[in-house]
Amino acid sequence: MTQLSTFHVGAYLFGVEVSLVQEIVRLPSITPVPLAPPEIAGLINLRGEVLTAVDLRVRLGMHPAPSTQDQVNVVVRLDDEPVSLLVDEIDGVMALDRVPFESTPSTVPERVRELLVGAYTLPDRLLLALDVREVLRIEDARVA
Amino acid sequence: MEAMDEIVAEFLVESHENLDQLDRDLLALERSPASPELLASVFRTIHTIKGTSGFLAFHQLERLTHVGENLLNRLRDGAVPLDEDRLSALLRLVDVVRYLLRTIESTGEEGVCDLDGLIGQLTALLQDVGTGSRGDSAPGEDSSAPGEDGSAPGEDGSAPGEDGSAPGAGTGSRGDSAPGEDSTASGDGTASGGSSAAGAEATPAGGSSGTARSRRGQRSRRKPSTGGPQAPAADAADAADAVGAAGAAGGSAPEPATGSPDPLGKVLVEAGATSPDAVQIARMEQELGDSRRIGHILVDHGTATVDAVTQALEVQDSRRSVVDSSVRVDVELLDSLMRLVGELVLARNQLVSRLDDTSSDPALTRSAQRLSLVTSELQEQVMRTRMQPVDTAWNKIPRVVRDLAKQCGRQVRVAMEGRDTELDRSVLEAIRDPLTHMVRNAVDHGIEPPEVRRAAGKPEEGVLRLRAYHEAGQVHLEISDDGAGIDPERIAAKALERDLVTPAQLAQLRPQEIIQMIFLSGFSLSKEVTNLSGRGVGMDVVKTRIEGIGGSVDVVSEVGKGTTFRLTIPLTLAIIPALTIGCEGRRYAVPQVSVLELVRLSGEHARGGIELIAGAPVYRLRDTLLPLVRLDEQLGLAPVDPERGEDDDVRGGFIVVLQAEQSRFGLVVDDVLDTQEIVVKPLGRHLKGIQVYAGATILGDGSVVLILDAATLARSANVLHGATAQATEQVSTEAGTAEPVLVVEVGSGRRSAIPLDMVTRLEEINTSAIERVGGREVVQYRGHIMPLVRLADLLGTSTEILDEDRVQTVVYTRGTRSVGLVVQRIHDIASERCGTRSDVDGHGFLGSVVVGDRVVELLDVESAVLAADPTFFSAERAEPDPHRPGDLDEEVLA
Repeated sequence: MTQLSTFHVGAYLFGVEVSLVQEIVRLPSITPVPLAPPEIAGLINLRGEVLTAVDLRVRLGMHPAPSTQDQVNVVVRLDDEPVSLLVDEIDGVMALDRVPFESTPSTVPERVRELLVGAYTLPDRLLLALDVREVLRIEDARVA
Repeated sequence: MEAMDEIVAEFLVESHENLDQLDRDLLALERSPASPELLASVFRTIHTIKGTSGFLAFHQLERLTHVGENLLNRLRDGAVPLDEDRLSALLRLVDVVRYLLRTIESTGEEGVCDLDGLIGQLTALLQDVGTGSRGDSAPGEDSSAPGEDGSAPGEDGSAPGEDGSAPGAGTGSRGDSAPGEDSTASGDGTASGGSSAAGAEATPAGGSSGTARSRRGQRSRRKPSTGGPQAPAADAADAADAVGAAGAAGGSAPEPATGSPDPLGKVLVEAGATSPDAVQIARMEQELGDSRRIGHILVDHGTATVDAVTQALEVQDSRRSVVDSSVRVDVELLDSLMRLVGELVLARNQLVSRLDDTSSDPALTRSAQRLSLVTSELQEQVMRTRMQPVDTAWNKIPRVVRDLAKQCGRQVRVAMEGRDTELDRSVLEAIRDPLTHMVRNAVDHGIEPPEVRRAAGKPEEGVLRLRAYHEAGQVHLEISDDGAGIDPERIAAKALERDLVTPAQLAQLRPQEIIQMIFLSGFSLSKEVTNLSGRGVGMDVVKTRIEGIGGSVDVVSEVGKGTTFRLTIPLTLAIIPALTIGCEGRRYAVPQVSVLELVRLSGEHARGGIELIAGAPVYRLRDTLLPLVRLDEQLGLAPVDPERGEDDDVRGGFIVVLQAEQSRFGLVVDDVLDTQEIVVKPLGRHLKGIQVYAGATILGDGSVVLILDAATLARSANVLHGATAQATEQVSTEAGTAEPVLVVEVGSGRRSAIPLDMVTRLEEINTSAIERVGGREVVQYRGHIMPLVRLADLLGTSTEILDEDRVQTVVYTRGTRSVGLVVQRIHDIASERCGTRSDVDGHGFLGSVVVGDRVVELLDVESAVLAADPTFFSAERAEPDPHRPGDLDEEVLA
C-alpha cells in the first residue's frame, strides 16, 4: 500500500512516502547558516537535536517564502539522519493504491521534474511524488 | 555456543589486561631481576592464559604459553638467570600472545602462525649455558624440551588432551584426573611422572585466578579447570578476615605483582606489631567460635595496638585491588549516559534562564535551584565515570621506550609523575598516538648515545620524564628528556632550506620562537629517516591532533640540557565552555580555550582604531600588531572591503583575541554576550563541508547557535596577512603578563576575580558575630569595627539562602581601616592569563580577565569598599571622587 504524506509548496501539491516521515512540527525559530547553500534554510532545535532545514521552495526553484509566513517542518529520516523539509502547509496522508501513477508531465518545470518520482493524477489535481534522496542531494559549489 | 562466546570474550578482555601488566612486570624485572614477587606475578599471568587457552582449545596459544611458563618456572627456581636474551624472548612471547589474542578476537580462531621459531628460542633458553643443569629439580621441562622442539605437533596434541577436550590424546597416566587438576600440573606431570616443583607451586596461583573468575559468576563454567585449586584459595579467604573474604583471594587480577592480600595477622607480624604466637592464639579463638575479627581479638588481648591494626588494615587495603569494588561497564552505556546528562544540563539551563526572567514563585525558584545543583553534581559524577588515569595511555610507553632505546643504542630510564591524574577516556584515546610519537622523538632525537652523553659530562642513562597534573580545569602533560635539546640554528637552517620562512622573518624571531617551527608541516629534523620517526609527518600532526581536541602544545628546549613538550588538554570533550558573540544580529559561539582576551572598540577607539597594513586590517594591542579578521566578512555577511567607509569607523564592537594554529589574531565582532557551557553537536551532512563551523549547540533559551572554528578563522587570518604577520604575532605572543588574582564565587555560580594585591586576609566570620549598625552589617575585627559588604547584593546576584553559620570574607585593609567583602566561596588563586578589558560590565567591575579557560569579571575593589564604608578613602582623598557612578552615591546616602 502506497501512502504519501502530502503538503503544499507554492502552487503545487507534493507528497513523500509516509515511512520516511519522522514527524511534522511547527517551529518558530530557525538559525540561518551563513555560507551554506541557498537551499539550506538553517538549523532547528528539535527536542535538543540540531537538524538542518531545507527550504523546499528554494530547492524547487521558487522564491523563498516571505519571512512572515509560518512554514512547517516535515522531518524526514534518510540514511539515519533526520532532515527537516520546510513546506508551506500540510495537507494530510493519502492512500494511493487506486490512483493512476504516471511519469512526471512535461508541463512541470525542469528544475522540479528532476526531483520527482512521478505524479499521481487525483480527480481534481496532480500530486507530485518527491524523490527525497534526490531532494536532499544538495551540491554546493562554494564548499571546497 | 553463546555461553562459549561469552567465555572467550571474557578471556580476551582479561588476557589483554594481563598482558599490559606483564609488559610492565617484565620491564620492572629488568631493573630488579631477582624479585621473586615479580617473577611469580609474570608466571601467574602466563599460567592463567595457558590454562584458559587450553580449556578453550586454543592450542597454539597454549603451546606457546606452556614453553614460556616452563622458562619462567626455571627462572623462578633460580635454575637459570634472567638475562637480556631471556627477557627479550619473554617480551617477544607477550607480543605473539597479543597477536594471537587479536586474531582470536577478530576471527574467532587462532589462525595459522608459525610459532616454532619462538618456541625453539624459548626452549633453548631453558638451559643455563655452561652449567650442566640437566637432571636437577625440573626434569619435566628438560625432557619435554626436545620433544617440543622436534615433534611439536605431537606434543601439541597431548597437552590439551590432558584437559580432556581433544580426542585421542590419552598419553598421560593421569589423564583422568586432569580436568580437576590445573593444566600446568598435568603438563609437567606427563613428562616427569611425579609432582614437579612447578606443579605444586602452580596450584595456589591457579587458585587465585580461579576465584577471580568465579567472582564474575563463571564459577560453574570454569569448574573443570579450577575445581582442584579452589580449596587453598578458600583457605586464604577465610584467613583474610577483615573484609570481603571472597574478593580477597582474587585480588591478584589487576595487580598481580602483589598477589593475594595477606591475612591481617601476617601483615601485623611482618610489621613487627605482634608475634606469630599471638596471631595463632587469636586464630584458635576464632575457630572456637569467636566471631570477632582478628584485629579486634589481638587488641583485646593487648598483643597489638589499635594503631598498629589500623595501619595494617591500610596496608592490607592497598594490597587489595580496586576490582573488588568495581564493575565493568560498557563504554557505550557511559557515552549515552553522558549524552543524556548533556541534555539535562541544557534543559536545566533553559529552565533557569526562563526563571530569571519571570521569577515570581519563590518555591519554584527554590526547586529550580535545587535541580540546578543536583544537575551540576550529576554532571560531575557522570563525567568522573568516564575518567581514567592517564596511566592507561602511559602504560605502553616503557615498552616502547625500551624497544626503541635498544634499537638506536640509547640508555633510557622512564620516570613518571602523576600517573593517577584522571581525564576523560575520549581525550585519552585522542592523545595516545601523539604521546607515543613525542616519546619516540625524545628517544630517537632527544637523548644522545651513551658515549656522547659521557663526553658531555652527563650520566650515560638518559631520563625521559612524563608528568601529568590538573590545573585550572585542564590537564597538563609534560614529556621531557634530558637530551641534546633542539638547536635553534639547525631548525632555522632547515626552515630556510624548506622555504618555510624567509631570512628576513628569521631575523625577527627569538630562539624559543624558532623552535616552535618544528610544528610547521613538512618539517622533519632527522638527518636520516629512521623507521620510527622522522618521516616529516611528525610534530605538525601531533599539533593538529592535540588542537583537534581543543588542546594546545608547545615546546621549550635548551641546547645540551633537554627538551620539554607541554600539552594542555581539556578534561572532557563533551561539554565545553564557550563565549557567545554577536555578529550582524546573530549569535555564534567560540570555544573558550582559544579565547585569549577581549578588546572593546568604543568611542574614539571604535573601529577607526583598526589600521590597514598592506591592505590587511590590524590593531595595535599593547604595542604589538594584531592581525584582524572580520567575522561578518568571513561569514559572507558583508562584502570584503578593507577600505570600509567612515560609517564603519564609528561603529562599536569587540575584538576577540584568539589563539589557534600557532597564530594569534583578532576576530572583529559586533558584540560579546556571555560565557556558557555548551554541548557540541555535529552538523548535518549538508553543512559538514563548511569549515568555519566546528558544530552547533543549543543555548539556554533553546535557540541553535553555530560554533566557530578558530583554526579555520586563523587560516583565513594567515592568508590575509601572510607570513610577515605571523612573525609579528609570534613576537607578540609573549606580551601578556600574568598577574595573580583571587577567584571567588559571589553567588549562583557567578565568579569574580579580585587582584591579589588588594587582598589583605581571608577570614571566616561567625554569622552570630555580625551586628547591624545603621542598616549596615559590621563585625568587630582586630579591635576595630569592620563594615561588611555582601558582594552578591552589591553586584545584584541572587544567592542561595545562606543558613551557614560562617561566611567567607575577603578583608581589605589600608592603615587601620578594614572592610570585609563577603563572598559565597573562595575558589582559587590563579594567574590571570592576559590583560583586562576595560569598562565593559557596568558598575562594580573593572572589566573581565581570562582565568584558566573562563572569562571572569574583575571586581572593582575600590567601589566595593566604598559601598561598605563611604568614608574609607577620605583620609587619602579629601572629598568623594566625583567620577564614582551615581548609584553608588545613592547607596552611600542610604
